[in-house]
Amino acid sequence: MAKVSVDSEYLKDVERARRELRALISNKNCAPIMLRLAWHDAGTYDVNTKTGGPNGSIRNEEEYAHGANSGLKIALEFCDIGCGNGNAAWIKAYFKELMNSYILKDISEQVKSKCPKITYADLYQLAGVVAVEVTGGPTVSFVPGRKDSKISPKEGRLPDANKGVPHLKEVFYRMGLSDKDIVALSGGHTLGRAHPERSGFDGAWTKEPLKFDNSYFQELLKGESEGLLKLSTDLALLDDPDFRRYVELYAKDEDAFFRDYAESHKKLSELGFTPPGAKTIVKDGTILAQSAFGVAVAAAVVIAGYLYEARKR
Amino acid sequence: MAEREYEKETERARRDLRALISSKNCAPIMLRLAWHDAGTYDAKTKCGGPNASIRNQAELNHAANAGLNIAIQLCEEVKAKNPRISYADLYQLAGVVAVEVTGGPTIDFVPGRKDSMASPEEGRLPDAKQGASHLRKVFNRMGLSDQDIVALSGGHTLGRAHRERSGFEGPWTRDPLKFDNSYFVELLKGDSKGLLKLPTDNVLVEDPEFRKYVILYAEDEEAFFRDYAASHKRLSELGFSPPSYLGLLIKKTMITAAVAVTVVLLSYFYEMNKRDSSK
Repeated sequence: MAKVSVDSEYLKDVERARRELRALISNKNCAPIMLRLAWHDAGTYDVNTKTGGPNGSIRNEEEYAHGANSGLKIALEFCDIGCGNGNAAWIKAYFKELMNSYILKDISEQVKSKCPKITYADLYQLAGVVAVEVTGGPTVSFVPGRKDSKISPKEGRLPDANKGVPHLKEVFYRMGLSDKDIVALSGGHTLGRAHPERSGFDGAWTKEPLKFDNSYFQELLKGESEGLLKLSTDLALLDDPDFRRYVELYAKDEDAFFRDYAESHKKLSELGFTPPGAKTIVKDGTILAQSAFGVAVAAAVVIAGYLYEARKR
Repeated sequence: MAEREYEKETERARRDLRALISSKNCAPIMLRLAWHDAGTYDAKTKCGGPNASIRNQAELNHAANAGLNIAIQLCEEVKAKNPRISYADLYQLAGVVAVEVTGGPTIDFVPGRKDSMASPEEGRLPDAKQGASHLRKVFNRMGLSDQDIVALSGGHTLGRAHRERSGFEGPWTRDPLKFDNSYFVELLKGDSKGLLKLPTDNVLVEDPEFRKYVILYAEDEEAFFRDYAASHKRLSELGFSPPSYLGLLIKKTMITAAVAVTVVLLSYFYEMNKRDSSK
């Protein structure tokens, strides 16, 4: 596995990818499927064997053919279009079919490795982060450097929507996540819908499937909602008292949901990933600079005071 | 602190705008709203500018603002959820978010603009049928430069003209929902099939001063994004004095110094007291 050198060139590529993803996801209103892609790549993690996780393995045909990943090929293609990885065989075939349409021809002309350095693992997780952002959700911190892997885990690691509390706990604890993570992450159902040809289920969970907010939890507590979907695994969140208290909190307090969601999403997106180097990127350099300034001034005054004292004696 | 509350509401409005603009694909008209509110500024008289006077039906009725009532209505959805934010801040924030979600640069946004109901007279915004001297007259009046003119024209990377609004028709670029430097690339190509070039767009390649920037931005998207972000920020702050970073830093330093001095003085007096009492 090639080592990912997160140098300034790589970081520039990441920012370029971030902007391309914003345009693509906003334009095509495809935030839900991009979020699902990120989650399904990461959610195969096994904390005991340290296998699976956010490593781009979902690109492998054997993995995107898993039942749980039905429909995700579209998201894989979008990411390739957005970041101009024109080498992918399916992209060449896809564009060959659609060459007549001049709009796509132009996109394919622009598809010239706009972001050649970024790994697929980083790209898919960045897509998930951007999907949450452009639909009005919290800012999820993104640290680049994930390596790509060609090794796909066996089918069956992602949750089964027909099951209940013990299954949810089994699957998520295996990843190394907690009860709070389970409930917060389920809030991702604020976006999107289920499709009969994919999962067999049909419909959206909330009234505005392109708006990231806490309405998923409000609808859950309402019980039966006309025309809205509730999977067994959604209802399970009400059955278990450990889960239920978070549902009630998030239904009442959107800021609390956003705060916990951002934390859980980041955790999920970094399962099995140790950011390269122990460099802590000080994001808010201004706070640091101001504090340093203040401390320096205070120290200078105290020292001046002591010198004055000393001289007097 | 009220300031902190206002900032929180601004961030909430930002998220609501992201969701609205992405889901409705209305970034172009939101950018135009922000520009048309700000672009009435007169640096000499200090009136006009980004103060939401564009909400006035009288100003909305100006020919240059045809169609903008759509953007005003869309913003009402966000204002309803975030009542404290001023309309002036909301419209400029919408412009910033429009650029962001279409893949453009991040533009620094400082809140604090006040709303005004005083609308300027018609005719302060540029006329698409005119030339270089008109462009310079209009933008210099705002206090903006040649570089600002070219960089901001790059905003035509988004959207299209509508016959029933301006009389012109069509987009300037192949992907009117993607913010990039393709506007400049198309300008240098000359006649592009199916794409719009206003007289004021063509002026940018004809005038030698403007042309320098067109060539730079066509070749170097990073340079365009950098200059665009600076010009857009300037435009969005015409006539607005945001609390400056330096001012805040000085204020905080003085407070820290005052606290330190107090501590020193107190310990000094404590020392003195000890000495006196021990004598």
